[in-house]
Amino acid sequence: MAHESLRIIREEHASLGVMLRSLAALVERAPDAPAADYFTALRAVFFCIDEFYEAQHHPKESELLFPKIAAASQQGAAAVLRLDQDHATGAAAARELQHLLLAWEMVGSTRRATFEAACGAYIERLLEHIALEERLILPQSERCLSAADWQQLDRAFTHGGGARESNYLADPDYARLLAQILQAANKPPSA
Amino acid sequence: MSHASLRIIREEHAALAAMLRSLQLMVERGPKTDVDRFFSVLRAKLFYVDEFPERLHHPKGTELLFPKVAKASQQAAEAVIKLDRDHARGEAAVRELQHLLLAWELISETRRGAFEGACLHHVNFYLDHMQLEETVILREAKQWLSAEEWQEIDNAFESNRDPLNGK
Repeated sequence: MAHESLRIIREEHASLGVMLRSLAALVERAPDAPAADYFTALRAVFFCIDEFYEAQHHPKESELLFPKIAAASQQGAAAVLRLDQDHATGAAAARELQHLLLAWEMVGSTRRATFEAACGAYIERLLEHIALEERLILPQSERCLSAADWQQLDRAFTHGGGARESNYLADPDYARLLAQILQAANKPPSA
Repeated sequence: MSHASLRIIREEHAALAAMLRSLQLMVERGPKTDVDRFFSVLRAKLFYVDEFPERLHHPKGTELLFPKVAKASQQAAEAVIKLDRDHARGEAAVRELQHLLLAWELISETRRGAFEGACLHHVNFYLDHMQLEETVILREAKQWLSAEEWQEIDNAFESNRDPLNGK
């Protein structure tokens, strides 16, 4: 049976994946002296991660989904330990990256390498995090959750509303930011 | 008698207070014609508050001066508990403020009120914090610390200077 919450979680992961790959492309192809809109595009990525994934998506997973998986098997418990740890440190890590980015923008290129290294490690860790959830947590959830658990999870991820209003992907403000990020990431590198 | 460390602390406080007041003034005036510049300047001010005092000024106080004064004076010990708590949450608070500013800039005017409220709160929190350091800690330090302790503290303060006041 298809659960609305699982569909939304997968959709939100896909969208986060797109953002992270855009971020990686932006950082990789950064000009020597980026203009202001370059930094704005990067800030928009961190803003979306901060505001949406850290504040909404992750807490719902940690509160409603992970404990059920951890209780069901040792393998699940080990995965949840790592995933919860990522969730606990994720918000501060995203803000530290924003600070390092601002240091590059405000102070200058001497601060660039620190941002690039931290950003690369962050992207890699978050992509692994999503992959682990998709490979292990989501398939196991089909076996571990009761009808009542599903009801609770579906309600949390749909805010009790219909699928259309369910997630931030339908929010015009976030959609606009995401479009801006994609446009910046796909722009040919400036000379 | 005057100590280099006390002078440096007061200078750093004065620079930071001026920065905080100008930040508050700008927020009260709001963006006029050049909106991009408004956000960029506010961001620069918050960057300074995050980068310098949180990383250089506070650690010097927290690691060296505070423990010595707290040991010598009960009143200072009580103030140090509060100041340490302030320092511990200072970085997260200024970063939350940066996030709220970004929400106003990237989302819309609907997020402006949240930033303005948090900004005013943070500016007052910081000014009170510095006031407590100056009135209790510095006063008690002058009364109780030995010449050797001052020497150690002065040396540490002279090795890391504030880029804002340039001294």
